[in-house]
Amino acid sequence: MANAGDELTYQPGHGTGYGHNALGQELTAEMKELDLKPGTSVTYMQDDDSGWALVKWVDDVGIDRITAIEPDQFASDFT
Amino acid sequence: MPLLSAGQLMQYAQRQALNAVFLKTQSPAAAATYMALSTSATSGVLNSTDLTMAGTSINEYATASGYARQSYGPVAATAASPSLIYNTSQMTWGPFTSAPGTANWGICTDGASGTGTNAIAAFLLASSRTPSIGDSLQAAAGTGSAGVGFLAQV
Repeated sequence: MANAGDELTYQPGHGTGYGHNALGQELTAEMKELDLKPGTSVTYMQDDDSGWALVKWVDDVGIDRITAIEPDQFASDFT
Repeated sequence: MPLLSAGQLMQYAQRQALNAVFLKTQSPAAAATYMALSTSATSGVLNSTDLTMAGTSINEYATASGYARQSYGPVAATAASPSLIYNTSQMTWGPFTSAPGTANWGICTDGASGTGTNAIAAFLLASSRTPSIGDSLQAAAGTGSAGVGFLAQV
């Protein structure tokens, strides 16, 4: 169980980005640049009311992001 | 006229602003604000009397799509008349893990998640956006010019 402020790394077994994995195929070049990629450091913020985990991270273009992660995926892919 | 057809402060913020300006109460402490996305139709749905994000007219994107509110991070209100406030950085939502629907509004609120946070202001998007699975949705940094960024004025 993560606590607010914990630093984690997105390391999915499938080795693809968060959006890429959801789509099930390669993203366009523009969307690929904005995807949450394996090896990205994230900071756990809190769980949403729905139980999804909110994580903060910085994308490849330097923009601060907050993304909601499905609970089982958060447990398995963020270490 | 509570139904919104363009961006404006919501009832919660109207009251906060008037009470602060006319020295009835102290302003709330400085804190982070966040930008939500809403699927409410561009007219005739969003109601300025909705005090929180639980309001029935708010219609925020569902978190179970990878969506989360993004930091608004506005400038300090400009020393001008009308005084302006707007986001300083580009904002990007997603990537989405399921299609979240069509976004027509940005709604500023004072919490990163939850329906109990206060609805501060609504901003009509210059054009609606319907992201697909895997997409990220971007909004431009504000410049102080109308139509560029999430800009509010008094």
